[in-house]
Amino acid sequence: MESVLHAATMYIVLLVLFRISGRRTLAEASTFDFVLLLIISEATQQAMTGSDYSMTNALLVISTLILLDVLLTFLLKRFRGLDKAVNGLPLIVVSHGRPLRERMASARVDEDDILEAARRTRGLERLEQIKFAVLERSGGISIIPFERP
Amino acid sequence: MHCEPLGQDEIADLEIDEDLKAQRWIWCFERLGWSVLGLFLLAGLLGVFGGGRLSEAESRDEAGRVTVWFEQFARVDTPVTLKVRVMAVQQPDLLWLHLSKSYFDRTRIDRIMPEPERTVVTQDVIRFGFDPNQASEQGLILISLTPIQFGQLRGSLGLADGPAVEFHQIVYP
Repeated sequence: MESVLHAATMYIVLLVLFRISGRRTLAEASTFDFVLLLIISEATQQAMTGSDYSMTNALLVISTLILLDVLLTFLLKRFRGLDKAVNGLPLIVVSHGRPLRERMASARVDEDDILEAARRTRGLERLEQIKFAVLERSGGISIIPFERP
Repeated sequence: MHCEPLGQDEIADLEIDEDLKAQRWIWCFERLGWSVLGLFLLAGLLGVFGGGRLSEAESRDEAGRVTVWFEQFARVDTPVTLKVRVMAVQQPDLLWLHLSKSYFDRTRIDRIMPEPERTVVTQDVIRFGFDPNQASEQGLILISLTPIQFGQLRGSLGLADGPAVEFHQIVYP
């Protein structure tokens, strides 16, 4: 009983915490971010299982997490507003070579991030070559270049 | 948190589900969340969740014969210590200390220093009998225990023939 409640609580708390941290945090994960994830998972695991290391408890915790995840997926498909709140929205940060500074500042994206994505994915050299740069729901930046004549 | 709105002509080629109003709400929620996290950490540092300045508390009877120092805030499965000072009159027999059973039912006693010579469990209280030379006027009794249930924990600790001290703790999950 306690294991199910602990797992459900941790699932919801983590969902809110990762939403608060913003999508930029995990999309461009560095080595340190992976270390951070490991530490978070370790702390979470102890809060969920406590001192009960039995297989039954592990199965209860895993079943709770998977069922909650299935339920959340179902709710996200059903309610568009919830989907926007949980997964975020795409945001245009460069339009026709013009960086949209206020949007970039609010989304914690700078010009270097956009140029890096442009170089890496499209081989572009300058901001003026970008028709649109979109900060995606996943946290990555998509680059759409101007069509070449 | 501003968003420059883009004209429909400007993004006509791009099929995108932008919702600036919802986006502003999400950013507001994020910023609010950071503030809440900051306050949460500050509260943790100050001891609102145990182990800090705001958590330390003391309770004593009117005559000052029994004093208990304890943590006001504790957490399930995390050990805490009750520090007890007893000013008892000299007696040849054991010095009996009573701890309410309701408190004991929601905690697990890990260790008592000095160790009691005798322990008696009754319906309402647990009685610990100490060697009066060890638990003397200047001596302290340390009860190391672990809360096993969350919620409000009310305890009562006192001498067999004298006053009892009430103390309250909040146990977080």
